[in-house]
Amino acid sequence: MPDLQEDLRALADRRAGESTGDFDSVLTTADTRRRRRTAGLAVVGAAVVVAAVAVVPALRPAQTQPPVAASPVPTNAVAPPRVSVQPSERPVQKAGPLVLTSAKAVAPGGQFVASFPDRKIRGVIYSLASAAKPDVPLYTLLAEVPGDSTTPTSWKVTTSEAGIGVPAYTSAGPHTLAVPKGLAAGSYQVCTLSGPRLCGLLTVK
Amino acid sequence: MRTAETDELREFYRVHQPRLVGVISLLTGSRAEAEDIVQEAFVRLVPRWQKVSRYDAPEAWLRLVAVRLSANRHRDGNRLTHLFRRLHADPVPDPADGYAGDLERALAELPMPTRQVIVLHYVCDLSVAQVADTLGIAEGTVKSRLSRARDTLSASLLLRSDDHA
Repeated sequence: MPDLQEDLRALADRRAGESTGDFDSVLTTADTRRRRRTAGLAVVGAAVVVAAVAVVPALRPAQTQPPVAASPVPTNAVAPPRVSVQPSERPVQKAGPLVLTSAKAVAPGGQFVASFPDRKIRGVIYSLASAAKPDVPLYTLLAEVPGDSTTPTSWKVTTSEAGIGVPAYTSAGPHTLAVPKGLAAGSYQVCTLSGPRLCGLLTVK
Repeated sequence: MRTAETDELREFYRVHQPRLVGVISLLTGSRAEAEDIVQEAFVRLVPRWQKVSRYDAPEAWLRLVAVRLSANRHRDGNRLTHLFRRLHADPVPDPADGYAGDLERALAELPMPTRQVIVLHYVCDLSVAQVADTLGIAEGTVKSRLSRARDTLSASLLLRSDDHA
C-alpha cells in the first residue's frame, strides 16, 4: 500500500515542519524534577530513620524468650540486644569466686586459706554468715597479718566493734583465716569486706 | 550532566524532536499534544542520556517512551471524555486541509492500538516483527491490525473522496 505510506509520511513531515521545541526548557524541567526527587528521598530517608528508632524497642524480644541460637529451627527473629548491666550501689554477692583452700571442712578454731582469683589487693577483713542467710553476717574475721601474733582472729557482729583496731595491712592473698570458736557445724559463706566483693562457701564440722 | 553531554543531547534534540512530533501527532491527532508528549519524553531522557546514548538507536528508546505516553494520555482522555460526554464537542474539520485532513480524521477514528501499529509500520518503517517487539504483542496481532487499518482507511478515504468530488 505505497500510497498510504507516502501520504502518512507526508502528513508526519508536515506536522514535523510545524513543530516548535525548546531544549532549554527540557533541561530545566529535568533539573527541577531531579532536585524534587532528591529532596523527597531525603524526607523519606529521615522518616524511615525516625520510624526505625520508634519501632526498634518494640521489636526487642522478651527476656524470657530463648536465644535465637538455641532455637531448634532457623528463625528470622531479631537477635536480642545486649543488655548492659548498670552497677548497683552494692555489688552483687557471688558465692564461689573466693577460693577457700587448706580445709573444706574445718573445725571451730581451725584455720583455712582464702585466695583471690582476680589477684587484686585487699585488706585482711572478712565477714562470715550462714549459707542459709548470707545477708545476715554473724562474725567479722581478721586474717593473719605477718608479725602480729594476735591474728588470725574473729569477733561477733553483735559485739560492739568500737575500739577494735583493724590493721591497715593489704595484700593480694592468700590470707589465712580462723574459724570462730564455738561456731556451730554447718555451711557458711565467707566474703571479703575490702575491695571487689568475693565470697566462698565454708563447711564447719 | 557535563557540557559535552549536554551538547550531544542538544544536537540529538535538534534532529529528532521535529520528526518525533510528526510521528506522535499522527497518534494523537493534535500537533500541540504531540509536542507536549515529545517534550516529556525528552525530559525523561535527560537523566538517562549517558546510558541511552550508548544504544545502537537511542531514538528508538525515545520513540517508545513517546508512544507509550501518547497511549496513556489517550486512555486518560477517554476517561475524561466519558465523564464529560455532554461537554465534549467533535473537532470541526478544516476544509483547507483537503485530503491530508481527511487522512488525519480517518486515522483518528481508528482505535489507538491500531493507530500505533500503522504509524510504527508505515511512518517509522519498522517491520512487523519490530512493531510486535516494540508494543509487546504477537506478530499475528500486528498483521491483523494492519489489515483492518488498511481496509478501514481505504473505505473511509474513498467515501470522503466522493464527498470532495
